[in-house]
Amino acid sequence: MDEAADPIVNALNRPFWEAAERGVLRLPVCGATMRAFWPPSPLSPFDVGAQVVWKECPPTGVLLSRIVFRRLFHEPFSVHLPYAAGLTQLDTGPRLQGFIARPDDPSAPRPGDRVRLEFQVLTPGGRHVPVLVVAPGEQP
Amino acid sequence: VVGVGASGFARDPDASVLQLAGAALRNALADADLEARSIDGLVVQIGSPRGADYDSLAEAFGLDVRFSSQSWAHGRFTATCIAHAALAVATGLATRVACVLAMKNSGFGRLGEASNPFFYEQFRENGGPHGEDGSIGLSSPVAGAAMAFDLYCRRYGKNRALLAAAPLTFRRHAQLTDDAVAREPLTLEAYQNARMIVEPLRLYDCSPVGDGAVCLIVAGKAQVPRDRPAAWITGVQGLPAGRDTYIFGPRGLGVGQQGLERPTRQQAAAQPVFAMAGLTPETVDTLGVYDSFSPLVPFTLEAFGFCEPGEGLDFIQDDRIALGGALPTNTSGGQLSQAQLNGWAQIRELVLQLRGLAGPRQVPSARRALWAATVGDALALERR
Repeated sequence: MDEAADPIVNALNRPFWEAAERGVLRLPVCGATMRAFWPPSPLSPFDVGAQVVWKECPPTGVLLSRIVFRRLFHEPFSVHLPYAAGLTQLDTGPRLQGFIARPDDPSAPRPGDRVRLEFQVLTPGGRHVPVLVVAPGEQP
Repeated sequence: VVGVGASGFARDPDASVLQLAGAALRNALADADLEARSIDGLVVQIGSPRGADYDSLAEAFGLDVRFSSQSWAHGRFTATCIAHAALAVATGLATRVACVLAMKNSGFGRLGEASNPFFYEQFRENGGPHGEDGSIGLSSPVAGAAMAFDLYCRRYGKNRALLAAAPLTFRRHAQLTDDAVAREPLTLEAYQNARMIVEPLRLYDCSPVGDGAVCLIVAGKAQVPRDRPAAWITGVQGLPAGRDTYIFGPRGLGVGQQGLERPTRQQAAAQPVFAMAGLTPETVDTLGVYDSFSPLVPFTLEAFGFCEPGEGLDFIQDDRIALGGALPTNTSGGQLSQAQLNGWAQIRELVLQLRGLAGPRQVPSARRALWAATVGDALALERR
């Protein structure tokens, strides 16, 4: 069976993935409350009648929790083992999950750290996906 | 619940899911002293490829049913399946409904691997049903439970080593259970030395794969035999969904897009299943907890008001959830030791407990039982 790791990209989420290729975080925003939200939706979860617009958002936040993969589940990620994934509270409101490289390295982000979301290619020929790195100086 | 039956539970790649389901149905019919032709309703939890769909089951077993339903192939719909059967009986759509969980996993590799039918769910639009995101390597349902547990321990400042009490207690229960898949003794040392699966969860925090089937026959009052005690369905509740729910984390934990306000213990104990059954956490004699992964045990205890938010890990210490303790829980070994059967083996165990048929595991004078899952799926049963 195919073990591709690419996300499904379509009209629902293309603004996010296109911005990701440029290293920019773009999120859907409720046109009525101006609150950013995640995951993408054609209807604002805060006001179903509101327009949804896409906006560039600061890619910074706080790492809330972190899990470490020490065994392989998914072949395209074998070169990264051990790797981690983290849940981030973005300064702009929603939470996003991102990849964390080399979790045992002292420089890897740990819960409580200020983090920045970058976009990197993790699998050969793959898309740029969210990666979390420590960003101590970047305050909201 | 007028009859209950099961196949054996084992990892058997050569088993047929129809054979497993057939054994469970035959045993449930024998338990209920019924013929197959008296079954006029069929509710199925897991369809193909891991299970068998309602149409092939009915055809293979010569059933002739006038009401069928089948849920999404996830454990979260377990009590909902049984509630659906009860609703069909209550509305006259059916008289006797066979509720079937038949599942064969061992031929498919591990969850999260490409050979498993669940593999593509991690690439579902907006992410997998347990928080998975295949594009960043966040694979397998265990990852969702691990993320919630890491967050929980940080929020409440808890020592994660306390979690061992759940798998160790349930393994002792499994040693009293003939059909449990994992019965060898499990020590704290062996638990702590086992390999990490997704840190912070270790091998014994994850339920072993089991192939097997369970069948419950649900019927109305008029069909219940009067010459023996029966387990009555006294409470159910719907499956909650929305931004505040996360399948493997209690409401208000702050995982996924959840808010941060935990319901109080009083609010948790006011869930509809309690009110419908005239039950409180204090009057539950024995509990079944959906425990695919260990953290779901403290999470569920909190979600249903057995303890305060943040106290679940303390609650499971000192044999409180063991046979002989204040709240005997997962008395046949839970999914962590008996087998991952989407909670159905636990519900069967509760029925046996209420009928006084649990043998060496019998909870003395068990009269009221609750089965519950962190996200809110729940079923109350009572001996009458």
